[in-house]
Amino acid sequence: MGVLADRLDSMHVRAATPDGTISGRLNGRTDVVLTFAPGYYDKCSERDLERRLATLATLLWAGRMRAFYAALSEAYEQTITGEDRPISPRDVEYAELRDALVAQGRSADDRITVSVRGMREWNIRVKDGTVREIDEHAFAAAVGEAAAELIRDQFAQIARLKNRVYG
Amino acid sequence: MSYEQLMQHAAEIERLAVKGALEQKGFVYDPHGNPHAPTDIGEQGAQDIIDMTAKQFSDVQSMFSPFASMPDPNAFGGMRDDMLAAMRELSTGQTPTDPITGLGVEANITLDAMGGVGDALLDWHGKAAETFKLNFVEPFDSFTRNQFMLVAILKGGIEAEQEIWKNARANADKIAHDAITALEHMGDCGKNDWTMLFTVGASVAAVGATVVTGGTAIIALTAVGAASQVVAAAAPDDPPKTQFSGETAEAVISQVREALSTLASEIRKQEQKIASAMTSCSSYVVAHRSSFVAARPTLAGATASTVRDSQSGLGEA
Repeated sequence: MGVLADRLDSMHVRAATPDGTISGRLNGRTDVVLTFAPGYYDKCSERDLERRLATLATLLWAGRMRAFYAALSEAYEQTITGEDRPISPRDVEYAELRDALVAQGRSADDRITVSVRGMREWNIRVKDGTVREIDEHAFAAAVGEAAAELIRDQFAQIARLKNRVYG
Repeated sequence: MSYEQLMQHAAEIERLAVKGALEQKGFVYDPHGNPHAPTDIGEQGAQDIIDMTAKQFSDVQSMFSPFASMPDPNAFGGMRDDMLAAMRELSTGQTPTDPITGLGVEANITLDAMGGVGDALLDWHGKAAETFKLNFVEPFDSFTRNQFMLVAILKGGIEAEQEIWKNARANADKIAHDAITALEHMGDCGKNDWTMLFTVGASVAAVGATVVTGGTAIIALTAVGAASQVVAAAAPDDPPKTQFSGETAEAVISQVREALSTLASEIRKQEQKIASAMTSCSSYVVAHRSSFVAARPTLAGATASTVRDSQSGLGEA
């Protein structure tokens, strides 16, 4: 295993919503763990959760990309903080298609649906009645399942997209 | 760095290239590392694609194999130390500095005794005595200095060789590691660009080494040394830098092939620098042998009947 794979497998990224009610951790490539401020989950609504989780996902993925570029810099032994502006027609096409790419994930119990366009516009759907029917630990586990499926879907689509544009 | 594992890296690159290519064709790997076709194309259909993809990258290891047995830079250490020992033997104290590295060389004080030889021979007269003084005693310092320079030039060449292979091994290892990173990065969102610095291309530096001729004239020979060790006469060459980019497994492997080709080319260029310097110095020595060693004394061919001859022998003391 190379340096990059090793760093991505052992990556730990943390983020929290601005009001501190929900915190998230991305361990490795796909393992997302949620924690709630004491007492918050039982008082919130499904719509509150959807909004906050979308914010958290944005922050968590931004942190993930920072950690990714740090790992990439270490692997290539050169500082890389992002990518150059696409100039060639193929790079422009790839960037446009990647920005339009929609990845999705769903929890095994179908309560949580997560989707994202271009890894920027997050959309979280929590089935009505969920807060009342399952506790915060079960909810966090369901979000973890949906998030892992979404990340795997994103990477699989990226691999196919690169083959389509550059292959 | 892990040059010793270069062929293991090559095997890993081949494995990752096959995996990356299959994933880009829509295959999904299960947690046990087995690929599964994206649609139901049948077991045979999937296997055919897997076999075809594996064949596509089957030459990856052979691309690296010529670079897996490059000379060990440490193996030049013994030769280099022998040259340094020879320099110490020839170090008269007047030129106790290595002209290539600028480092001091311990003087051989035994050579100082040569200064008293002329006085010891004051009572020796005749043709042989004059020739001995002219050919051996008077130019002794120049011969020694010039021989010291030649050994320094040889040592510089060996140190340049060490530098080439040290850098070549590091560069081959870096090419392999970068390829692994690029292939591991294949399915991630970002673009796959990386830069390779071919440090081997700045291994050898030219440096002047002077020899005396006719006791007064000074000739500068072009010698070479390890760029990291030479006396800085000029700024060292910048190592060649190449930007690579590859968004598919095929493109990454193609870039690896190009990088290895550049590496081989840079090694050849650096070796040529050493060869040119050595050939030029060698030609100079052949053409100016009398600046480096005394002419063979006539006495060396004397027989019992001529050894006391006043012209070809010792003459009368």
